[in-house]
Amino acid sequence: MLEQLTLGRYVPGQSILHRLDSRAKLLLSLYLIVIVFLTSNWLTYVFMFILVGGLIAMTGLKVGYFIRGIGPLIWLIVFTAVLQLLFTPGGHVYWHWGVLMLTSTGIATAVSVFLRFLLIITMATILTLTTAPLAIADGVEAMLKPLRIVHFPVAQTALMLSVALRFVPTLLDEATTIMNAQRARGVEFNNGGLIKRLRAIVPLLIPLFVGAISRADELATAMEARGYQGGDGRTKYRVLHWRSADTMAVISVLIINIVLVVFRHLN
Amino acid sequence: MQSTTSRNTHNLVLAALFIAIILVQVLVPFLGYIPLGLTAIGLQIVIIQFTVTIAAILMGPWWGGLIGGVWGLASFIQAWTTVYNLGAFLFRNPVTAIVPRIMIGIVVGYVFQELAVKRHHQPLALILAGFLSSFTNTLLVVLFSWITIVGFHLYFPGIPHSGTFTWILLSLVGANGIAEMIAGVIIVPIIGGATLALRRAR
Repeated sequence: MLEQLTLGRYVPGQSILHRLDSRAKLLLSLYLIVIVFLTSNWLTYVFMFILVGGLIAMTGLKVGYFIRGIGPLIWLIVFTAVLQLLFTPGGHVYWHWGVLMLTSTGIATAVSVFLRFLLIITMATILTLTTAPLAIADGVEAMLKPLRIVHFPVAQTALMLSVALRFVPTLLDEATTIMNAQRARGVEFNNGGLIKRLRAIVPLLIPLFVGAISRADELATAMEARGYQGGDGRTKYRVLHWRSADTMAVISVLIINIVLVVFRHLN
Repeated sequence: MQSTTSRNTHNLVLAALFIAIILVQVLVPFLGYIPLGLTAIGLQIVIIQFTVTIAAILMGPWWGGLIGGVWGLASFIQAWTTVYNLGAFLFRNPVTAIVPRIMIGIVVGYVFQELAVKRHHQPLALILAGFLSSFTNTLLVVLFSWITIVGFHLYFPGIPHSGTFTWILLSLVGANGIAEMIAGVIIVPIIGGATLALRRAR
């Protein structure tokens, strides 16, 4: 069950997208996700889908990874779209029954919600498939740097983020182990009423928390033994390099934005 | 007595691990939510606030607020990138997603410090912390959603424009909240007692 998680999974590779600076990749992904909301007519949607298709081709990864990432979510997206379809008033009313109705505005909203979700999820999947979690943490640190002026503890935040991301897979493994251990003792997780389920979750949470607390203690001691004193001025093993490819990527995204705005005002 | 730097490092790393637990709970539905059979329409018990509560109990209100804020941010991002159920629609509003969760950490942290640390009523403090974590969350989420939808007439993409629908949604959140408060009163004293004992033993 825990292995099915694709969103947030990293697949190593050597494509242009893999080698892009993590600062550029993070910023541009967010930017692309925001400009998805500029889509309005069919031309803009076709353009964005061609763009996302191109990005998928550029990752050099099998399409299967993306389908597996989106697959479990497709029904939920459909569900959202159906809600829009049945609850949105406005425009020409084709059918209605109680609070349910089918209107032209509803159909338009449902289609756009469906397509936008698909675009956003695919873009987020492209980012996480091509960027290692620690590279994302480095990118976030670089983006937070301006906050130093207001005495925001950027170095500590970045350290916390990298430690947290480092331990997510470890804790996932631990949770699976604990769950299996409890199942072996006869605990049923998917049965019974509220109280019974609560009693099943407690022997799962306590080992998880206790494990995390002892790990934190050990890690903090180890860090101090190696001279960690907190604060700025720590040097890095992986140093980020901004290259011409990154500048090119920024320029292309800006061009994409302009084209999108032009298409939006055609029709 | 540990030095201040050492305490800071310990809290920093412990906070990082709590953030990791939160991320795991957000990513793996079973560890963060107890489904009660009606998941499709949104009736499921959230147990992530108890992680924030334990963090606030162990590290105090400010760290608790930080961990709560991380949960808020994660659920905001999740509401936009994946669709869980009707409840997820509410958290597309960054205020509804983030502020109540920060407040869980701060409220629980302060109450626990006042009751358990200064007045030594630890068992009572733990029960109250469990209740308050779910209560603060539910109250503020319903309040902020109501203000944005009814007060400001703001609709977010995904929330259908219908008064009936809004009320159905908010009552569901309230019903969930009551179940979560019961869960908090049961779960938090057990886990909080265990983790505090561990802390003291070290």
